[in-house]
Amino acid sequence: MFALSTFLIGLLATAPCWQQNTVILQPDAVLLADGTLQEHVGVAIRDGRILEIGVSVQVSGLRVPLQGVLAPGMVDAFSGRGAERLLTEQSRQLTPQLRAADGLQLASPVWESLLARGVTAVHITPDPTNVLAGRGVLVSAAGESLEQRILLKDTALVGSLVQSAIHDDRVGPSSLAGGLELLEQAFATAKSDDFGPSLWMYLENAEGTRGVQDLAATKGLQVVPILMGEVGSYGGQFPQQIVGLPTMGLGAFARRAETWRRLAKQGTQVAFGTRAGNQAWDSLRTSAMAWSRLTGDAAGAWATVTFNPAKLLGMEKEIGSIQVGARADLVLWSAHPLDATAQVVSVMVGGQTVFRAPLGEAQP
Amino acid sequence: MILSALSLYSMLCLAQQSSLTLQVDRLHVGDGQVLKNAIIQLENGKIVSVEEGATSTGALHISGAELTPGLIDAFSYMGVSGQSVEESRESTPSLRLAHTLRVGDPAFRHALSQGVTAAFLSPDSLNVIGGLGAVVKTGGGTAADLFAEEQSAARILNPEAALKITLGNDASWGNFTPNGRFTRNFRARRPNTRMGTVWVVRREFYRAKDYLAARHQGTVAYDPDLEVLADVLEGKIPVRVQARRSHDVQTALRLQKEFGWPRLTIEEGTESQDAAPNLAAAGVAVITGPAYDSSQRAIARGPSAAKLKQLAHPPAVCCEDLHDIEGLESGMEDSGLVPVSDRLLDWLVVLAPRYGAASGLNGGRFSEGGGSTPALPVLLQKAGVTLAMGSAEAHDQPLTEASLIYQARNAVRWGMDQASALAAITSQAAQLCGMGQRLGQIKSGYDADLVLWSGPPLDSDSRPLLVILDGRIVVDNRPQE
Amino acid sequence: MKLRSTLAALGSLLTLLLAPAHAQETGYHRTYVIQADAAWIDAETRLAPAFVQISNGKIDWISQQDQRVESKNMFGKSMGKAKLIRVHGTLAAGMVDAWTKFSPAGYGADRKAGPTREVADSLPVQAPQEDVVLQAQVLAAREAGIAAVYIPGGMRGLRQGVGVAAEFTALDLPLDSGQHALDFAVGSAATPGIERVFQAEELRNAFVEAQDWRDSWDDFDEAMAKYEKDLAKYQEKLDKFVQEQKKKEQEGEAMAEDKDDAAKKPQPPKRPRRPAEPQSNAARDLLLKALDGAMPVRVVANRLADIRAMMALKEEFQLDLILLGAYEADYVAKDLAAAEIPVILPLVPDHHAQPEPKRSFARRYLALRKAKVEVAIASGGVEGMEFMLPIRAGEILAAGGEEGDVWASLTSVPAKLLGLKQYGALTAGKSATMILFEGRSPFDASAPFKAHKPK
Repeated sequence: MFALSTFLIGLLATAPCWQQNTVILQPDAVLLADGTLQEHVGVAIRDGRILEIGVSVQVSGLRVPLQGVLAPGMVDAFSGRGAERLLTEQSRQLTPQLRAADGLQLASPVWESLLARGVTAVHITPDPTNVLAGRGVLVSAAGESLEQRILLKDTALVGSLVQSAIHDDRVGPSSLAGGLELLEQAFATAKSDDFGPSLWMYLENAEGTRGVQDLAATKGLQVVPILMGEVGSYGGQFPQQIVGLPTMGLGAFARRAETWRRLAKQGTQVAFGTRAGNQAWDSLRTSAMAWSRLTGDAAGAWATVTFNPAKLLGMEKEIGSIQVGARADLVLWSAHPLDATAQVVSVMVGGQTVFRAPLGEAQP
Repeated sequence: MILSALSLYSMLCLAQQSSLTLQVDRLHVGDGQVLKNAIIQLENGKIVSVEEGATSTGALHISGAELTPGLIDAFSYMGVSGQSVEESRESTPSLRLAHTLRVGDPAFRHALSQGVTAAFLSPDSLNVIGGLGAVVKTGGGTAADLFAEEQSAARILNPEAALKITLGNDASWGNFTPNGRFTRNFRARRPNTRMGTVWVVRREFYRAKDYLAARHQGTVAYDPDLEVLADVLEGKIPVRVQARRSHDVQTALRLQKEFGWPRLTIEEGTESQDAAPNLAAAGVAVITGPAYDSSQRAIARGPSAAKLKQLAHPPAVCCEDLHDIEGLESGMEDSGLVPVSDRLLDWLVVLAPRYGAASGLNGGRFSEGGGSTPALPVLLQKAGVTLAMGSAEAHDQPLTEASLIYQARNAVRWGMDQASALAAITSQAAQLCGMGQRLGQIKSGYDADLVLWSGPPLDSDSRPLLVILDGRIVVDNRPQE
Repeated sequence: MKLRSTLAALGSLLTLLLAPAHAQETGYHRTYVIQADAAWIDAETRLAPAFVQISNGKIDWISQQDQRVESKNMFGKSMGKAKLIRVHGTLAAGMVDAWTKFSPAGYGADRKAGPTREVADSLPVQAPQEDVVLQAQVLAAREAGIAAVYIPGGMRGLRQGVGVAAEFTALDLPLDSGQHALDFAVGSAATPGIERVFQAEELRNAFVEAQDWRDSWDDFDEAMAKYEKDLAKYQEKLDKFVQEQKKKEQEGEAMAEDKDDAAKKPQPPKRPRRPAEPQSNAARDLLLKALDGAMPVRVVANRLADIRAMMALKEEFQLDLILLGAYEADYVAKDLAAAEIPVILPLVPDHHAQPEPKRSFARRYLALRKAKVEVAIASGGVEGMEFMLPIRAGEILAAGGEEGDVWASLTSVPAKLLGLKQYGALTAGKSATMILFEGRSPFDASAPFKAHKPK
């Protein structure tokens, strides 16, 4: 506890000139990019980025010993948190011009709660209620100005073929076929640069997946599937691939547990998101712990909430792992973050300490 | 039996057979020809050679067994859920059923275990112009289902096999006249009637004509729906019209004349016996579906003796006739194959339509086709109409009763000759699905999709011993030694 | 020589056949020793290293030293020492899930229950493939590290039936442990979405009625005594009457003219009516068992009003009451502790849609434990949630709970509540269905966690 307070005092004292100076964090252990836990490793930080990682850090700077495990901040792969409650335009089914960035609520207390749970970046997507819903935005959970908060302004086009979500008695579609037809029209009439490099689709069955993939292939678009519904009935389509998966809810879990095991077995990697998933604040980490228990792969489980979401966003060099050159979005945990008994001790975003757990008081 | 076949299937899937030689006592080529003591060589999923009167030492041989091509279901809803049509509009020609096909549907495994190796899958009948049907093989693909017992699934051969148009009640079902209260519902629209349905078809094809002209001039604004209709007008894509009542069949023929659809096929054609001469004259083929029972939708088993007696009041046939029919009825149940006398055939032609109307055989979900008759295939054949058979929704029935082979057997029972009945579920079905050069016959160069039956395939006590798909044994029901 | 070895083999076969009855029921029959880095004996005691000898699915001994001895079969032939299996990690007792959603085939637990049906009657016989769905549920629980479960009598309605505490057999089927309990649900728990405030009262009335019925036997006894006296009197009168009649008959001839005059004819005395026995009723018999303390009463109650009503019920009838769900129980934690009412907390809260509940699972648990209420943590009737038990429990530690305390809530406390004496700790005589974890604790999901099924 002494070392911790030293760290905090040190940070507070050096905060103004900290951006210029190098700080070397020396925690008990560091959770490295490959998922291994390594002891006696220092992490040098300068200008909000990771400068060097190693047993004997070469650069000179303020050395701060820390008690606990240093891990990358979690990334929510697809979320509606910190944004308007309705992030959709319901008068039409094709709204690719909609931008989630325009519905952000950066002053919301939501962000502090997220930081307290170790979440440092959130990919906000429009509601999956339109066939083409709009573009997502990647937001940092902390930062001084708007420019600093938005890590990626237009992440990808987001759409949905989830029947219960897109069905509309007034404008249709009434079926999966109709949803696909609308997509086809959008693709046929759009200029090729209207779409980003990838299309994030909320899917719920094999037919829709195949249809979207066929259509996207005509535009050279890569489809990032977000698997909703009964994943067991079509999850076999994604071996050796990263897919989005909503965080663990409560209903009918018996089959889902087995589904997760089989997904892992066939090499499917997962990026957890909270949109259409469990809304509890800690559901990201809980889902990662569940994934670890079910698959026995702790490294892969931690990647589901860090590296994999970053990779899907094309931001794997920036966020989601502790590596040289990445943003210093770091969380100090009292133990391995997949240990259910671990607590967040402090959180750093872009090299700035933005959250500290109240000393001597346990978190609820 | 099916279960054991499936488990065997999964085991056999692992052992890839690149070549296989079969020796069979009787071989039905599929086009009516029968070869005796034939040797068939299969390699890389194709039939390499067929020799008659030969013997081979290393060949797989089961005495008494007979070989047919893999059966082809020319009209089926297998693996097609209600999602296969988009109901927010009545005309959706560019919708491809192949996109929404559930390749892992257990119905495919059922079909395969009953000897069906390929099928034409039709979009559902809830839209006037429903979309493009697909021809699939019932196996050989991969299921995406993580829980699938084995990785067998349907494989799409042609995703644009035909455009489905529905005439009659099905298409207008659910629509209503805008009445102020529900006008914001997309169902407040035409067609609400049979006439409205035809109006939608004509409107769309007149638009397509203009589009085609523009396409030729190169001044066209791309429209995926009209692209498909224009392709139909140019004869690139065949048309399938679901027409159950006899006047719907006539309407289809009139529409063909009006728009010059080069390739038209009638689907179901429940009452098409009345239009048979016109169909024959126009060279339009019919793909019959099973005659439905109103409650069970099971295949019609023909009238029972008791029902015939009931129908005989007021007497349409005299008592001796009835007695004869009764005797035939029981005889048929025993063997499944009974030579049908001309007298019985006459009786059928006269009475069967009335029988259907009286007993409530209603041929479909919206009470169409009151004049259905189990003798439809033979009546069409006698009139010179080309036909194939399909199972429609009958694959819902888990029992083999509803399977394709039973329809051929049923046709034989009502007077069709064996060769034609078999052709209607093999070579002719392949022809009408646009796969005549590849499927439906046992000839060298054709796909190695074969079924080995325990006896004559149209005998009611024969069953598939082996089903071979793309040269691999996928169902094995051979007796354990 | 050959004969001797044959005899030895026969001996070991006989030893196997004469294995204790328990072994025959559960189907475990091997004897072996596991050596692990450490073991959690119970909530407080730790051991390192640990040797455990297991035979017939039960722990023979557990110790820091290898205490194996050579065993002999019934013919005196040495069988050698038991096989030693070395494993990495820490052994701990299998958890006990005191509230599951298991349902034997055909039992239909989610339908409206009859109050007298018993799960135990529907459990499958111990044969392979007997109930594959149930087997899958058991396997999922096994993998999650659970050794025994409670299968509730039902899922809906006020009176849900009689549930059973079950252990798992070698065939992965549940086995009736003989411990049964009466299941009830009141308030929102009985009918999701509808608050039925009268249900608690309805439950009380059922008990009152059962007690009244029992009391009515006293009235019956009184009435019976009176009846017997009356009967004796009646016999006397009857005898007298008969004699008088005979006398008259002898004198009779003269009276012949009066024959038609019935009114004048003397009447026989009236026979007293036997009082009716109180009518028996199977549903009431079950409640009486509960009143006698022969069966615990489990009530799902979430709202404070319902919980208070249940506390009153326990006091009035001296029931062996277990509170389930108990979402608002922390408001009356002290009273619950004073009344010695244990609580089974489900790890699934009924407010999961809220992002940050003020009264989280961990907070509610800690409040109850602070007041010294006995708390068991269970999956709470959500299928497939068992594997989340240690993870959710770990969150209590993160919120300030004590390790031993939380571990007891997953093992010894539920075992005690279910009356499963052979579960909940790693001591001699207890079940050998254990877990093996390589992390710091069973709550650590960053390291391998396995379940041990006895052989």
